[in-house]
Amino acid sequence: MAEFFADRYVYFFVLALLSIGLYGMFAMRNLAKKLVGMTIFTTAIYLFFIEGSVKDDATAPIITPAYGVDATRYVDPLPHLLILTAIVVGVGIVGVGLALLVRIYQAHGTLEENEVVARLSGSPRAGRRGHALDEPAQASSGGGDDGDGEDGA
Amino acid sequence: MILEVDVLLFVIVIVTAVLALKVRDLLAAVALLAAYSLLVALIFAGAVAVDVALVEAVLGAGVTGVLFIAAILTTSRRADVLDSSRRRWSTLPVLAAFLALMLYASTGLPDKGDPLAPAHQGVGPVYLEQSLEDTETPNVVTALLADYRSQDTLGETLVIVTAALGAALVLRAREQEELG
Repeated sequence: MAEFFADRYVYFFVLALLSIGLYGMFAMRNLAKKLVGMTIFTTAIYLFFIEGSVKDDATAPIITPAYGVDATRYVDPLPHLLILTAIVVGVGIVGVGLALLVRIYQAHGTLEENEVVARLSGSPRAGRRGHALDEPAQASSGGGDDGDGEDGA
Repeated sequence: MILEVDVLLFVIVIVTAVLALKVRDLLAAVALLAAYSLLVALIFAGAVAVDVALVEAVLGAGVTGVLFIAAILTTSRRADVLDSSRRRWSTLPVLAAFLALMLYASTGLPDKGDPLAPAHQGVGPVYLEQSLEDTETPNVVTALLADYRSQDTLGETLVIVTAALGAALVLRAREQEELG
């Protein structure tokens, strides 16, 4: 049992993280929270790949004279490269997602998914409209500069 | 890596992930997300993926956190209702199906650290044995990134340019509306 756990524990933890991320994406109402869930989900995938690159008694994939070019002494470098690319692309995805988030807030004054849907469908019971309608006016007067600043950075 | 340390790190990572989804203050959620990314970078370092650990610490914890904070300060800081019970129950079957499928698939995966795993028999050993001769770069990940798979890196750059353009266009659309 202990040996089974030592061999397979990574898969259980990665599975738990994937479930947490999936739950965040599906069940959370707040759109920013959905993005947090997505980040957790992608990071779990990175962990799966990196733990798959591990070999017993192997060191980092930097060729040293002590070990020569014996491939069994170094961990697999290919997953490292793939995940490096994936991390950079992941930041791009989060960036576009957050830009859409800012835009949705400017248009609807809220980040709660059900309120946005209610406003889009023109339903009369559009949630707590009382304060939701005040905020877009503020956002359009002060929000323009902020949007630009993030752009340049 | 020492098994106990690795398990402890994984447990802390899972607790941080749950907390990041649970707190109502979005800035606190982002702080927890950055802590989560740093801990994941520690696990990467433990799995001797040094390049990946560095990039995750800089991009995952740093840049993602800054982008989140910028967006949240521009919009709203608090999440009113986390999730309704109706939605929680409708998510459950999806999660259960996902877990069952993944557990079933994981039975075919090799044990951790098995040097004879199929993934280690392919092109990986070739890169490790040839890179010093081919590229004179001791760091094999660098040799892969810039030499063997430089077209991947070019594609990655294109993706980043597209993402920056997309974000710029989405944020610009409002100004056009105001002018017009």
